[in-house]
Amino acid sequence: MHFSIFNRYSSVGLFMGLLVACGGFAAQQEERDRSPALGIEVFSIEVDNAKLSPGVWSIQMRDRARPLTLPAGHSLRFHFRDRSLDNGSSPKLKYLLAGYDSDWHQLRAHAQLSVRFLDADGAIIGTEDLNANGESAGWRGNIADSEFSPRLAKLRAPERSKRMQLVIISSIPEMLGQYAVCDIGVSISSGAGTMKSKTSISTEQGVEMDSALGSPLLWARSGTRAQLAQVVTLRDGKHALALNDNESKTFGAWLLKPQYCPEVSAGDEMNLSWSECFSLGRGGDGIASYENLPPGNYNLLVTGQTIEGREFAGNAVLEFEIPPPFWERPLFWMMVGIAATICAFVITRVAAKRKMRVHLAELERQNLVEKERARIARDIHDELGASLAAIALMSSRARQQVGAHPEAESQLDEISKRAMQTARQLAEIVWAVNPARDSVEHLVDFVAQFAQEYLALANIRFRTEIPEQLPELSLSATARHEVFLAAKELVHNAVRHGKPTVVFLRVECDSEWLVIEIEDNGCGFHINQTSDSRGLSNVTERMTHIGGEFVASSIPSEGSRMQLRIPLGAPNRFT
Amino acid sequence: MSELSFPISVAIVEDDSGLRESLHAIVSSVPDLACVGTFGSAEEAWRSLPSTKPAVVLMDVNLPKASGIACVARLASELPQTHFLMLTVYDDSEAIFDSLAAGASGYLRKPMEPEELIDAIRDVHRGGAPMSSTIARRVIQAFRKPAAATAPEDSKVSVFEKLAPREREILGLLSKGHLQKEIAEELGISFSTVRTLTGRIYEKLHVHSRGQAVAKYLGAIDQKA
Repeated sequence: MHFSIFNRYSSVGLFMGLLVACGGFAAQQEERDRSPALGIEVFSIEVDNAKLSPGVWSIQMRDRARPLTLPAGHSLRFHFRDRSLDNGSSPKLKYLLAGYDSDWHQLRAHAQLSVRFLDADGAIIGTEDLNANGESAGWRGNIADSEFSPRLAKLRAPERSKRMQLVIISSIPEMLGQYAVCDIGVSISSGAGTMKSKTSISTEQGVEMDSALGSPLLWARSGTRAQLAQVVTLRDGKHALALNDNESKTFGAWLLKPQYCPEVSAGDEMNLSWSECFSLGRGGDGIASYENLPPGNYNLLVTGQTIEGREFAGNAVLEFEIPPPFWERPLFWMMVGIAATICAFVITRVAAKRKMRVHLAELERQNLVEKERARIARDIHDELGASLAAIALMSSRARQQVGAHPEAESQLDEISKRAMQTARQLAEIVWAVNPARDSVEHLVDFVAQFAQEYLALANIRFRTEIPEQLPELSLSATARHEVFLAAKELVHNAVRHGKPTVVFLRVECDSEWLVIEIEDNGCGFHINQTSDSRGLSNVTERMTHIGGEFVASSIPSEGSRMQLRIPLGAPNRFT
Repeated sequence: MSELSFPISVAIVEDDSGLRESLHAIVSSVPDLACVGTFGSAEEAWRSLPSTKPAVVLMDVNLPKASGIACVARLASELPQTHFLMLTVYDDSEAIFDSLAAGASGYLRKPMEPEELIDAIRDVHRGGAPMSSTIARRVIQAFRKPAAATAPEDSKVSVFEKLAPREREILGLLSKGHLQKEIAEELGISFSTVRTLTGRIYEKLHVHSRGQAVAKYLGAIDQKA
């Protein structure tokens, strides 16, 4: 007979397997074909105990490109259920969160050999549940093939106990699996230790015991679906009482018939022994809970097993994603990068604009200064220069006309000379401050012009060695004036002290230095002895003032050579 | 000076009235010079001078509005027989050079002795052509540059090439500080020959630079007039 049981279960299992296998598929595709709900579904998601609105995530599930997105750093609970209940057989459920779990989580429920203590009226006054959980050590896929494990329990009868009743039952209706018990024996001793009785509670006697639905003598079926309580014939011919529960909404139970319940007294001690084998799980619904999942992609798999423990293919029930916090996303950093770039750009632009404005203001200011300087130069030239020239001419003429007045003549002569001299000095200053005359070329011209005229009057030959083209570099007003005055001093010195027959003016110029050399073939001098009286310290001072150098060399009775070295590198240094 | 010769007719263009009077008085004080007109501005000068045709014009470089250089640039070709003697207050070799390029024959720095002025007028009338080393340098620079766009036939050949060897030699010596009388001695030629050759250099400079001078100064006159 047990073959038929086996066959029946295996066919149910096969059928269920197909259902579950298709169920996962169906869960993924249900929006498309709307087939009747068979299989496993996740029907609710809680985030920190607050239900996620089904609309939100079911819509998201439909959109394959974007899996469900759940927040990081929260407590997540996934409620799932087996929807194949109508079919009359349920799978034991287990789940695994791919991407996080390494092992399956089996939904647990236990079966038990329950000991009830009854009082004289048959009312239950105490219960002792001897639980079986998961899979027994000798489990081999079905009861008949498995090895039974012996178990022992020591019990004490509570007050008012009259009998003890044994019940083979599942803890909850949702329990699924097989649980078999045989070889039950009870030895009762009084509280003082005196052996009172030793009873075997038979699972062998009965009618049609080779049939799953046979009727044992001592036991009665019970439960919402009594036929789940079955008789199993073992390999050695013995019989075991089993719960063969493949429905998660119903349960069956074996009850020791009251008349066979051993009598006990309060305080008695009982040694209960039995053998059992089992493979137990749970169907119906379940909850998978996770705390603080790290960011990543996840796949919640829920699958079933036949009550014999046969596996089905895993169901990809729910794909979801926990996105990294914004600061861990590349996009965020891209945005930060872009924002930073824009900021840097804007700051640079603003700074550059400001700098440009300041620069322009400075240029404007310089331009105004130059314009003003040019205006002053022109005014001095136009007004004072002309007046001085007129004074010089008039006094000269007056001197000629004054006749025999030697004193008046000499005074007029003095006036004329003074006016000429003043006009000349004025011309030098006006030349120096005039921004239109700020080039190296103008400086060299001015020095050469002065030297030539001065030396022509002194009847001394003048020779120049000046490059045909001078670089177009500018010199500050200060530098021009100092260099001119220094050169003038040197030409004066050459004529006054050296009595030369020729004076050379040599000019060399590159982008960094302008060198003006004044050489004479006069009598020369000992530099260390006479420098002060010749005003050379004055020349040195002028050159130092503009960052230049003065190099004087002289050989007595051969002449002297004076070099002015003017830096051109920093044109604005002396403005 | 021959007794039969006419006095040199001199016109004065100077905006400062005091100076203008002084110049007038000086010119009038010697018998061989005759002042034929005084003008306070370039505009007055170029209205009247073409009919006056003086032998020498004393021309202030810095006149208000149109400058003396512009005035020379405009009048030089109309009055080929007239010598323009530029008066400058301070050493501005660029202005002097521009004047010479525009057609002036000489220059004089303004606080001057009356004798200096009279000598300069006589000298320029005789064909004198003073050239300092500074001006000579600028003349060389000008000749080195390509000719003006208005003279396309000259553009390929530097005008420097057009100077006679003697002229080039004299120009070179002048630029190195030699005075004209020194050059006469050194080259064994007469002072007047040196002067004549220098005058020819100015003429060639004038021809060479006319386009530039016209562009630089006449444009300015047209705008201001």
